[in-house]
Amino acid sequence: MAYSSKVVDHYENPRNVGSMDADAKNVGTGIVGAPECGDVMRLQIEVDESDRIVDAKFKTFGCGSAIASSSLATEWIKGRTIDEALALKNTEIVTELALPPVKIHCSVLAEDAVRAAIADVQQKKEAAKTTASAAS
Amino acid sequence: MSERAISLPVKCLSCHEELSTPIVCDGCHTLYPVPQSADFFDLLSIGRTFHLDEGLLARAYRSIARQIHPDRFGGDSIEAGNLSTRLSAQVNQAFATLRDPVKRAAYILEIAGGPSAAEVREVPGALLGEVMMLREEIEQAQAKGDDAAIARHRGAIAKRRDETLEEIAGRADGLWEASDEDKKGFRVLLNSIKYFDNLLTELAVNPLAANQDH
Repeated sequence: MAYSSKVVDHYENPRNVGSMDADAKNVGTGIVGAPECGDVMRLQIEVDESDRIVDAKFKTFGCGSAIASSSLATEWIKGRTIDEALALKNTEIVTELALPPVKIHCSVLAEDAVRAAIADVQQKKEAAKTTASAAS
Repeated sequence: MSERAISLPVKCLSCHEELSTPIVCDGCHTLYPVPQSADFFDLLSIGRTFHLDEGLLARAYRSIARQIHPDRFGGDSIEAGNLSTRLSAQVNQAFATLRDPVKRAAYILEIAGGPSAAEVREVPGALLGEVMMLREEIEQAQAKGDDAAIARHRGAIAKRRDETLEEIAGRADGLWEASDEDKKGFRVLLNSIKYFDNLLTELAVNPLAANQDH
């Protein structure tokens, strides 16, 4: 099976590889895995006060399609609001990267990672709100 | 344990010999398609348990594989030739599944009606975060050529894989009567093995080749 040129491009020049401070209040971290293949993916987002994703980073240990899917996902969600990012569907990644059926789970992994990162940062914000209201 | 009600053919339809495996007669070598109700244990005529005798399994496989081998049916009808090819593929798959403890455990879970890795994707506790951290540490150790750190990781991960497999072995034969919750728990344990295996593969390869596509 040959990878599409877009997968190869993201694999060879992955965008937004790296990490952020997982303890920072405005950073959400999602770590997800695919038990069928043992791939692991970490995707992190930094959000501003108006819930806009100002930066996104990822690190993926897995096949070319998993790396490309997460690279593309970080590219797409940067600059978007949390609500817009939640609307991202794995099928859009499949289409953009021309993933074959056996690699669809890689795009699912990227979607799951985005959702996990958003859930994490929202939970932190909720916790901060609770602490703030308890203090006042 | 193997209380499932299954009805396998017991006697050869041609020579009326007792059948020791449902797919071939020891006496007259008549072949039979795999019965719907037969699982891999039935195919190889071996007791339905995780704790099987691997020597016995290998001997059973070799004996059956020899009897159904397509070379033996070359001069026979096309149907017999095709059937022997199909049966051989099924018997090979049965052996490959049952000889490997992890595949065997996953197979027992499957025939006991438990969830697949696609259905239950969880792993135990904080494993994913740990795997991520280990991967990064290994990547750094490989970049620095720190063989001692690599050997240390390899030992520690192999130990955890062994411990997990021991727990799997301890629970596998209880799956027939297990609750859905316990079957799910078994799947969660099984899922972790793939992550350990990938780590061990990563640690086994030449670091210079580590970044090539796979």
